[in-house]
Amino acid sequence: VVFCSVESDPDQIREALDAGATEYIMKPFDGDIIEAKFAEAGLL
Amino acid sequence: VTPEDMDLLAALGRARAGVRVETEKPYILESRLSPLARREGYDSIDALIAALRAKREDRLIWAVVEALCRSETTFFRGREAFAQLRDEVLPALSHRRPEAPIRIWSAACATGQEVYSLAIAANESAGLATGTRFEFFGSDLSERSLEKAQAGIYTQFEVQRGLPIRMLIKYFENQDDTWAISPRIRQIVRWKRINLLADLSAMGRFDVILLRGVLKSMDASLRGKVIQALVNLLPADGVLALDPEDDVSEFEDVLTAAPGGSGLYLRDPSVRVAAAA
Repeated sequence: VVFCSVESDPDQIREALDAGATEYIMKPFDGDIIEAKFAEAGLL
Repeated sequence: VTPEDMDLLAALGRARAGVRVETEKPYILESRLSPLARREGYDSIDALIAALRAKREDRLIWAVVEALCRSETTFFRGREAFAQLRDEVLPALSHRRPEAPIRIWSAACATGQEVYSLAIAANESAGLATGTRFEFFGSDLSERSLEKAQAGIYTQFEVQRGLPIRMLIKYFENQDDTWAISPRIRQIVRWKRINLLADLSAMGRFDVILLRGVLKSMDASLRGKVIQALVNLLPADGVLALDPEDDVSEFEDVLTAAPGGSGLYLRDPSVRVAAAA
């Protein structure tokens, strides 16, 4: 599970990780970063 | 930028920093020199270069050379090398000399991501001997890059390039839309402007030296001198980290590639990288 969110508050990020996120992408949403994070999470 | 200007920039880059200026890529030169021209109060790169010719002012020459040499980097760039350092090299060094600090030098650290990645990797390393201490050292030719490195503050875009989210929230503090490296990491790194063409013999011993993103742009005739100067600072079990794609054929008599192909090289091939077994 990869979260994409405008939220960059560490507590929100921890909440997402506790809920099962493997990665978390914040703005600015960049194609290369999204691709790298998806690859890291084993989704590509 | 005229061909004569290109020649001047190439000559300065080579003479001052040993860097091969990519004159075949004028757009790169322009993207690097435009911000400098603005900062220095010139309305164009042409005006900046004209001033360079007219004044021959050392400060301005260095500002141009630093701008030409500035490189981009990301956290954990070349992830395999960091994994090998964390899992094999650092535990092995730690067990061989538990009393002495392990000294690590990022010799072209740009804006600091490599040094902080190393410090994080060391902190995440399992299997270190009890009481292992580290000393991290970052150097670069560019004062501006070093200022950013030392501040340890990165944009949200920069921290997302290479830094896993769990590492981000563990080692950084959020400040609006920027992220600051945790003081406990920032405080264990020392920084200094160093030109790798200078005499490096007084630098002292380093167990691991990283020279990544450099050789490919270094003037071919100077690569051997710089590599030898760095190798001279490594103990027998020291490790030099280059880019995996760097051509090291001319250094085969002083360096042996460590298994794994991640760009790590051993000074003495008889010393094992992996932890003492």
